[in-house]
Amino acid sequence: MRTILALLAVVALFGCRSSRSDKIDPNVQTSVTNTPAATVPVNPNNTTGTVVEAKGTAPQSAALPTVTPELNVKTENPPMASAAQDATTTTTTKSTTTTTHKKVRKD
Amino acid sequence: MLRRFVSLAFVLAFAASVAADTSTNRLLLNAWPGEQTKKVSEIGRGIGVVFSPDLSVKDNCHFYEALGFACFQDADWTNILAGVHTFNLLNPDRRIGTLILETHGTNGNGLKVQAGYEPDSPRSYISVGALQERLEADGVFHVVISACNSGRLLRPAIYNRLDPYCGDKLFLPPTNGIVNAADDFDPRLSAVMLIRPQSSHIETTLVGTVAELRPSTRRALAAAAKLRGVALPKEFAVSDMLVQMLTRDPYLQLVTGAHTDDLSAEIRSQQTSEQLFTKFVTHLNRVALRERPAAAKKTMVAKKRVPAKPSSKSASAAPRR
Repeated sequence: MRTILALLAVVALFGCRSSRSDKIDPNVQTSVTNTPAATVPVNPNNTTGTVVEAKGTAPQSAALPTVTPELNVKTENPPMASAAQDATTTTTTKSTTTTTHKKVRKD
Repeated sequence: MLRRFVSLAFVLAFAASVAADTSTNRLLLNAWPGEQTKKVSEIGRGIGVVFSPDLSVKDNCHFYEALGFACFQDADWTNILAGVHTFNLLNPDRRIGTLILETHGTNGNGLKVQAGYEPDSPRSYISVGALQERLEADGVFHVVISACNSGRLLRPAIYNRLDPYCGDKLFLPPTNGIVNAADDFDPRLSAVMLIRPQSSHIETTLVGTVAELRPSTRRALAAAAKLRGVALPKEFAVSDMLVQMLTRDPYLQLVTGAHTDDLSAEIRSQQTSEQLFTKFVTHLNRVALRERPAAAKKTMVAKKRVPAKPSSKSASAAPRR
C-alpha cells in the first residue's frame, strides 16, 4: 500500500511538471528582458509597416573591405577574416575510405 | 520484495521518459511535428526553407519541394517575403507555419542572403524584428534561425533596425537593400517565435548527391518531384541543423528569445557533419522504405480483386499454385 502511494505521488509530481512545461506560450520570448522595445524610439510620423532602406546604399564600412585571399590570416576571429574563402569553402572530393562532402560556412 | 523492485523499475523508467522530453523536443513538436511522416513527399509539409543563393546548389529548391517543403532562394528578402505570402495564399492546405532560415548571419550582425561575396553581388539583409513583423500576418509562427552566430542577431541594439555601419567585414554592400521593422514595432506583442541553437556558433551546410540515396528512395523522390511538377536535381545542400531537427538529434539544443553578445568561431568538425549527413540519408531511406510496403500491398490487393478467369483455351492464364 505504501509503495503504491509513493508511486502515485511520484507520478503526480512528474505529471504536474510535464503539463506545466508542455504549454508553449508563443509570447514566451516577450518576457525576456533583452527585447529592444525600450531602446527603439517611437516615430509618430511613421505609421506604415516595414521600413525598407533604399537599395544599393553601400555603408561606408562595407565599401571599405575588398575581401581578398590575403585576408585569410588566422586571427582571433577567423569568420570575419575569411569571407572570400568561405564563399567557396572547403574541400573536397574522395578519400580512400569515405566520401567527403563540400562544406560551406554560413557566416 | 519483488513488488518493490518492479515499482522502483517503473518509477525509474517513467522518470527517464520525462527527462528525455526536453524543451527542444517540445519546441520541435510545435515547429515541426511531422517526425513520423510515412511519405517522402510529406517530410517537409508545413515547413518553408529559405536559402541564400551562395549556400545552395543548382535546382536545390526542387529537391526540397519534392520532399514537401516550400522553398525560397533569392538574394532579396522582399522577394522571399512576397514568396511566403503568395505560397500561403495559393496553398491553403499546405500553409507554411514554420520557416527555416538557411542564410548567413554576418557574424550576428544581420540575416544576409547573397549571390556571392563580390561587393556588387545581389545581396540584402533583414532584422529579426522585421521577420516577426512581416511573417505574423502570413500565419508563420515559428522561425528557425540556422545561421552563424544566431544568438547575436537578437541583440536589442539591432533587433528591429540593423546597423550597416557596424564595421564588420562580412557586412558587404546591401545591393538589394535592408529590411528593418517599423520604428513602433514591439516584439513583445508578436506571436512569432524565434528559435535558434543554444550555442551560437558557425553553422554549415553540406552538398550531397541524390545518387547517394538508395535506388528505392530515388524512385520515391522522383515520383514526389513529378507530383510537384519539378525535376529532381543531381545535387542538394543540407545543413547540419536541418538534419538534427529532422532526425531529432539528441545533441540539438534549441532556445527561443535569449540573445548573446559573444562572437563565436566554433564550428563542427567535418567528421561530425559527415555523420549528420549519413543520418539524413538513412532517414530518407527509412521513410522511403516505410512508404514502399504500402504501395506493394496495394498492388497485391488489386491483383487479388481481379482473379484470372479459367480458360480452356489458355492454360497459362490460370493462376499458379
